[in-house]
Amino acid sequence: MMRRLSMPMRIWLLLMALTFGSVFIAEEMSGRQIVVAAIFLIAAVKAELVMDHYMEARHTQRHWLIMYFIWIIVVTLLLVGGHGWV
Amino acid sequence: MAELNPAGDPILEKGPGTNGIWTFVFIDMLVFLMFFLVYLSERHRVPDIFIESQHHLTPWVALLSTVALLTSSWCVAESVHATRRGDARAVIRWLSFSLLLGGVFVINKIVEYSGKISAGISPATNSFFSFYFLITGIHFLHVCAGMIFIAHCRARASQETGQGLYLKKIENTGLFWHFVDILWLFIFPLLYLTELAR
Repeated sequence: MMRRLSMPMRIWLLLMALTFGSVFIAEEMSGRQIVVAAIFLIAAVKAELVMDHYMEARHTQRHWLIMYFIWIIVVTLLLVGGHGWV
Repeated sequence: MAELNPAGDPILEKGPGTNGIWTFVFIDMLVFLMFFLVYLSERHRVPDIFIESQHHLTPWVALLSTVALLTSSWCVAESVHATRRGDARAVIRWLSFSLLLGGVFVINKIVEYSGKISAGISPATNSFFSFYFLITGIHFLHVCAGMIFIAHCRARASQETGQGLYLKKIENTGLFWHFVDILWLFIFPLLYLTELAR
């Protein structure tokens, strides 16, 4: 059945699962620092999925791919670190 | 790219979008990186105000915005694929869905803002709400701009689908829309989820 779904739709299903998963983790799990790290890591994975599959960043010039990927890493580290993880 | 590029049109050989949109989006991303940095710096200065204020936000409202934007991004991605196939009707259909979902985000955000303002919460309330209105407000303006670009592409789809320049136009619009989506993917947990954690 998954083969009948288009690639953007499969990615959308994954993004939905990750979105609801992050809300579930934030609401139900205990251990504040781990939860905060988890929800930002999930956000980073979602951003990477959008960048890779919707923006098709891997097909653009290589320096853009590298700089956009670095942006995701820097923002994620900043947000996790800024909430007291590091 | 090969689907609409059998003749090796050079404009279509450089990957999705134009160099200009990748540059513009990256500069915008750096601006938001600065917003996040200053937000976190202020949060460290007055953590109690930020923690208390975040409890006044409603995560389920923001979750609806997230679902609307992600679904809209999917529709725009489908419209780019439809453009490469030369299927103008599908382009119009997918762009219409994406506009509708962008509209859901806009209405949801207006309802959220009006709820805050009627509860006496404004950017002057405290530093958290200054950042809340600033970050979400600038993002909101990006959404509005993206919807204008999408509406333009939708209006041109029946005449221009199949032309290389239209493909670049819709790819650029898609890149901007997905970037707006990526920003929200970080704004959502930053403002609405972190203080749900115990």
